[in-house]
Amino acid sequence: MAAKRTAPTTKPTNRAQRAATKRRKLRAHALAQVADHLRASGFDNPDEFKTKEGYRFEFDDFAVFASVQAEGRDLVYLVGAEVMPMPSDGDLVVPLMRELLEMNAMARGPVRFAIDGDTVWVVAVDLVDLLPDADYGRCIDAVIAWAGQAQETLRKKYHRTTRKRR
Amino acid sequence: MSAYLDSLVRSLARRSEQTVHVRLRTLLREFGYGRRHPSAVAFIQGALRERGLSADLTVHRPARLDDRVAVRLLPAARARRAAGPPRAAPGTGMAPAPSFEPPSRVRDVAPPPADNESTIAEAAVQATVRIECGDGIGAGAIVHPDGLVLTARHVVRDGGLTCRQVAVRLADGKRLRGIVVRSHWPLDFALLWLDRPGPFAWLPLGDATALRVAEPLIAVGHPSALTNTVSRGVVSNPRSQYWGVECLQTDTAMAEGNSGGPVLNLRGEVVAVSAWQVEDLDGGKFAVPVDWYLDDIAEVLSLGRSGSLKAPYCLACGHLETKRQLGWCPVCGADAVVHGRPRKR
Repeated sequence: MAAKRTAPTTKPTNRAQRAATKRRKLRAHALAQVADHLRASGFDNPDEFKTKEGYRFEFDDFAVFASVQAEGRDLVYLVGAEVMPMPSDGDLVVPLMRELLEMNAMARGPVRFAIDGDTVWVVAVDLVDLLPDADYGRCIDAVIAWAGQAQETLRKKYHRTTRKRR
Repeated sequence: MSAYLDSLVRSLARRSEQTVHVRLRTLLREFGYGRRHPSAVAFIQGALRERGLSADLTVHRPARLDDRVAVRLLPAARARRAAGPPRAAPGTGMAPAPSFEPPSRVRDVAPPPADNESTIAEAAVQATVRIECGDGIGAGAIVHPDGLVLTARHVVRDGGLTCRQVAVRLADGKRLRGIVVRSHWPLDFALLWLDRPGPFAWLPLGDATALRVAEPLIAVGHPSALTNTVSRGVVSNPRSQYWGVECLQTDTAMAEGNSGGPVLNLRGEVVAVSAWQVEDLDGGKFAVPVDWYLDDIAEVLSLGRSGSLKAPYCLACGHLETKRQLGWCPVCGADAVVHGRPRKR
């Protein structure tokens, strides 16, 4: 009597486990690159700034984060720096938004302006799979440089109110 | 007008409850007005304040000309008249006069004597609340007996948006909910309603534009979570520019936990709200004067508690939309718009 044919040898659970392991390794590698860059930038103990998703630290007078987050099957490297709080006056919000979009249109590379909640951010996003090691640090430096520049120009123009005192 | 005011002061001096009721029509006529318009209200409030009086009179209240208006002695005037705290309603522990008074432009009101400072500070402590939002603690001042609290926006901010609901603790330790209905950046103020009807001890608003250099100030707050801490200082600069806003600069001791707390003049009126400080600089404390946002207070009061809770509020920019029910904010475009009373946790 002929033996029954068996199912395919690779089980789906094994594939998922392998993918998860690969992602864990990629994530650890990405965070190690960030830590190396922080050490090279003068942060003696980057672990002090470690959070659940990556690193969060202060540079000059703005908050910066560098994190690795899962987006579906991909791992995304996300760097952000706080530029300024959004003004509450309608006649400042619209010109600010337009200026941010115009700057985004002219931008080259992964760095862009973004609004989240009541804050204007400079962010850089890239897929961890495609990112060369040297670019982890470059993204952080670019975001900090943009945020520093934008803070000066944008705060001067928009960190105010159009109201008058009584 | 002067004779009429004298007669009001005399009749108040005779009464133990320190209140007289006059018909709105009579009050307007005595001041030469036939109608109640904003400048008439401001003028009458100013003239009354000059005599140490306050009236329960706004452009919205009372509704009819034949309604009666309560005229009372201001806390400072009461303190001058009789020693003891300005909480006149016996046994209630409440400030007596339920009214919103736009500050007058009168700059020649003599400050009360120095021995009155403790009385003013005691009244201020009674009307100062502790606000907890996220991990932070701040202060706030009750500016209307129905439970309208004035605080700083950064006190009620958590995770990149303002909170709709915060935990409030009154001076007597009672815990309540506060519901934020209006806020602004960079003026850094927020208005919230206490979740329970009043009356609460409250503080009147003063005229911050009348402040002069070296004028004494009193601040109340909870620095480093030390509750109901009173500090004293002077006006370092009444029109200092900080973060793009014309602020009141003072050397009054303030720290984290003072944010949102009232800064009072020696008439017991709130003239500013504690906001920022330059660390390690004694004279580098900044408070935002109340006259920046008197219109917002008037708007929220005119809507009332239920009206302002029904109106959509934007958690991102702090706009209170009074005309339309939209799913997004007409000022900043955010969809973080809420309305109605939040559910109890």
